Amino acid sequence: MSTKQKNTEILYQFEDKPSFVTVFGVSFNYIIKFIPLSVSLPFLIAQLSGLSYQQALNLISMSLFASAISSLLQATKKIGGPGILAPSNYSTPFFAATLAAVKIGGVSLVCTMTILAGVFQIVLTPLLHKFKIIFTKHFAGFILLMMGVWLGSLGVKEFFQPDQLGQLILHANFSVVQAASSTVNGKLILVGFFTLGLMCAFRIWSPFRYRLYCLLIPMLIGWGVSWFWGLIPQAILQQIQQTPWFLVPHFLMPTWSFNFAFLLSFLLAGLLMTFSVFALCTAVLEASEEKSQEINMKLVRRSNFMTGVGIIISGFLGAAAQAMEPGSIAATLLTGALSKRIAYCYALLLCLLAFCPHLFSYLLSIPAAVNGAAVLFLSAGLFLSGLRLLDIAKMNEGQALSFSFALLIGLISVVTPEIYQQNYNEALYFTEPAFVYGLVAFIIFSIIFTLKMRKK
Amino acid sequence: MKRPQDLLYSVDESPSIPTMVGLAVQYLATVATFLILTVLIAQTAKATAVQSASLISMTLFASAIAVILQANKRIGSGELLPLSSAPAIFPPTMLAASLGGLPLVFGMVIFCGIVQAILAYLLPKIRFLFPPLVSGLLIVLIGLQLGFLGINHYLALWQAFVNNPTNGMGSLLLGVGVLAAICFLYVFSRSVFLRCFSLLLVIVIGYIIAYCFGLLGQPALTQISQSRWLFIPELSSNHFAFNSTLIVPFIIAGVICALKVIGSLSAIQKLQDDDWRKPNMQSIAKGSFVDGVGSIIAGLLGGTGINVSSSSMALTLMTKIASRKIAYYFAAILCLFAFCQKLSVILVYLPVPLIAAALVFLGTSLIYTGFKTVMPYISVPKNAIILGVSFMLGFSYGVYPDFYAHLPPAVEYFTGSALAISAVCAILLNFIFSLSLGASNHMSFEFTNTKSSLQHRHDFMTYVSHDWNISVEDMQPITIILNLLAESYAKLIDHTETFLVNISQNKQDIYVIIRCKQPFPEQNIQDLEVQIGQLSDYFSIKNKHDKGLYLKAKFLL
Repeated sequence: MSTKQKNTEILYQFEDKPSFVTVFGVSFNYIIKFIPLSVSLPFLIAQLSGLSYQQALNLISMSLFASAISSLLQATKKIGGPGILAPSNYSTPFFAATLAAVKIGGVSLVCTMTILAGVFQIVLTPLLHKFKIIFTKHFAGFILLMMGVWLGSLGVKEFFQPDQLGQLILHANFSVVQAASSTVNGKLILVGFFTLGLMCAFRIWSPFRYRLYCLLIPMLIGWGVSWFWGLIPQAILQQIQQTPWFLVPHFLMPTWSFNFAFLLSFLLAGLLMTFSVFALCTAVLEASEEKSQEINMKLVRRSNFMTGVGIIISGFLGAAAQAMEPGSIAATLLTGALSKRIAYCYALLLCLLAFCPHLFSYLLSIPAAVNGAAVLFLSAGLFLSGLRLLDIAKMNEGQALSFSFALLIGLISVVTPEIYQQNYNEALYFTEPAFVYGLVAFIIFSIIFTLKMRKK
Repeated sequence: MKRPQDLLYSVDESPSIPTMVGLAVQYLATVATFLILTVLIAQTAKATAVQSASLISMTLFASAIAVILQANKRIGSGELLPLSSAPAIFPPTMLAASLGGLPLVFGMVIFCGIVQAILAYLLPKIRFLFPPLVSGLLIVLIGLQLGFLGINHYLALWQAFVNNPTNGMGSLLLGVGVLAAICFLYVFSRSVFLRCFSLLLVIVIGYIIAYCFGLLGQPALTQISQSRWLFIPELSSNHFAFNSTLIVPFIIAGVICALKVIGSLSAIQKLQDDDWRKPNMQSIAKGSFVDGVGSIIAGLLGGTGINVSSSSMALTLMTKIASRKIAYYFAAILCLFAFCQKLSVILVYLPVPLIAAALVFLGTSLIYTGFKTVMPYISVPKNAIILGVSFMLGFSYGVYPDFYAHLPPAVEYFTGSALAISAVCAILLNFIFSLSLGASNHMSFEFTNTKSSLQHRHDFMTYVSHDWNISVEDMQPITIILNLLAESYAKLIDHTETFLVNISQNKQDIYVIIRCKQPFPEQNIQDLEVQIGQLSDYFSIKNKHDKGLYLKAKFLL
């Protein structure tokens, strides 16, 4: 029997109706943090597949539309969605596979394979219920923990080496701008630390109202400081001026192509996405009023189904897979605002941005260090959500060992990436080996120890 | 003080001699596993076989001296507190071994001991800077370092197998088999004995298998056969060195060791007293001081850093025998082993597969223990931020070592290792967040001592607990005091009384001020003081005929 308990950390529940200003402001948390990511990937795809500047802008607009649709699918109960706030963005498990596919077969191959992955995810949905041994709270916690680590490693790279990552700009030649000297780099890192400090301070000290903007306000301040300190390269500022204000996007009508070599990596991405949806959805449900001893698998299945549908729609729109993103769920949990209205507002803002490249090109000028600070902050939130779900204090010896071993196996690939990289080949691209190997180890050890417990 | 019913022997009692010898051997078995860390330090410092054997001997000998000092009431805590090679000092010691060999190891171990000895008297006052959250996080990072080291050993075995499948197969199989056997015994065994000593038993069996299948190598066998059964290591050959860049990592190690002593001694005190409410800080300060002195002695004699052994503490808690006389038997056995060169050399030549398995297992145990320590605290947002951000920044050292390698020398003191980065970040954040709380959390309420007020008090305390994110357990003593006062007044005074209660949170403390216009009956005030003394960490009562009762109490979170 399940017991329900209210979580005082949550300020607005799914069905709550905050004021329009609050909804609008909180939606901007997601816009400012995730638009650069949403824009960067289609931009890279366009660059790799040799699309023109206009076509690249169009591809970005289509990606934004796909994200908006995917967010709405998760938020709307009437059409069969779970009715949760899960702002969608570019789906990270597909990242490596998408880039590899675009190099070989262009946008048409990416679209076909994305649709197939979406179908595969829908096929997997009923299995979530059948494999209850695997889909436990501990497993959800471990996935979140590993996602936190993986996101953290990305954040660390952005944070500490902003000049190496550079900043993408919307440019006719698709050039990647490198931030200049080591002095600039040092200043950027300082700004990153300042932004991270502000985020922590806002989350802990700020009263109720401002806690909702613990991502938005520090990022805006960090961005502003970088601007006034002259840390944003002139080339970016000039290109923003040249980017058109309005653009009427048109359907790309992608052609279809298929390459068997990429099937496995896209199916694996679909599988990983299913695991992610399971963990993220569990975390959101746990944080909400519906906190209970058992996972609400019905909502998880609905969410996974809608994620699959969203990915298929992305493919048909000519965009890469768009789905709920770990960082956006971490932002939801940290701000404590779960209201579905935020999802609607977020979707509306995405659609508006799709018509206005000039605005999203501004967002691309956010320095990597400021972005990195936000990613670090979000990764910490995700990591802790994972820890809470794992409930280590109640683990038996077998569960404790499987958790610790899997964590070690997963983490070593982040610290020493060359260990696993030698096993790569073109058809088996993983976005993050730490995540994959950690999960595989956790599943294997958990099964072994579950069998033992059943025997007892 | 109330003796628990299940306590078999308290600190001043003596079990029979066979029982004490048997227990001393068990303690030796628990601490022997950690000698692997000393072996690894010797390997990293590129010590010769004789030097390595001497390092092990001297670590054991210093442990024996420290155990005896610890058991002495005048010098130490007067409790049974077995010591071993310290995992907490291991990561910085490895750094020292790689930077400056054994002389730097000895010098820095002495420094760490001095830090711990000083901290012994400072720590009770600045303990709010080092909550269990910080120590738990550091334990996780130590566990990760040990685990990574173990996995790297496995990768070396794999590489050897790839290069030469015929020769590498045996070692690889032994490594995997030993780890699987340890896990199997630890998880599947129903015998408590087998579970407690799974690591040691499997390592011994693994060593025998390695010998039988010729995996030890001829130089090792020759050295073992040539070594003497009894020997006295040379002290004159020891040199000492110091490196200022290692100051911060060793200070952090000293802090962890001191915190471990506090935890262990609190557990032992609790084991012997059912009425235990708060730790006896005088005994703890002495215990922590002697623990530091143990490391100083180890460094001076030419051994590695030592600290109270958690697994030995677990054994004490499990057996319910706290007799200090066992410490003398334990010390005698340690001395016997310290001067047996053959045993030390056998340890020095511990095959790589066994080291790899032991490190991975020890690492995973520490990771689990560390996370278990921090779990109760992460529901509080400030703690969650401290833990998450510090872990990620510590982790960044592994992801981006290049960045830290190019920092100015002044900053390097704080960024020399993942442990240092995390510790500095966690302590700083904890300090900053603690400062703010003093200014923000105040609440007061008034209640009249009627039958219905019990529910109001309960509701108020639940509200405070939720609003300030303090666990219900931490608020429990305040609730008990409020109920105590209300009940006492109801029994002693005829009419109902009104209480004004002010609660404030400052750093890691909660202060409660309770005012009542009616004075508490003088004949009962001593009983009240005794009861409140058991619940709070500090309190003062003013009970005046004309002004009524004024009670102020402090509770450490």
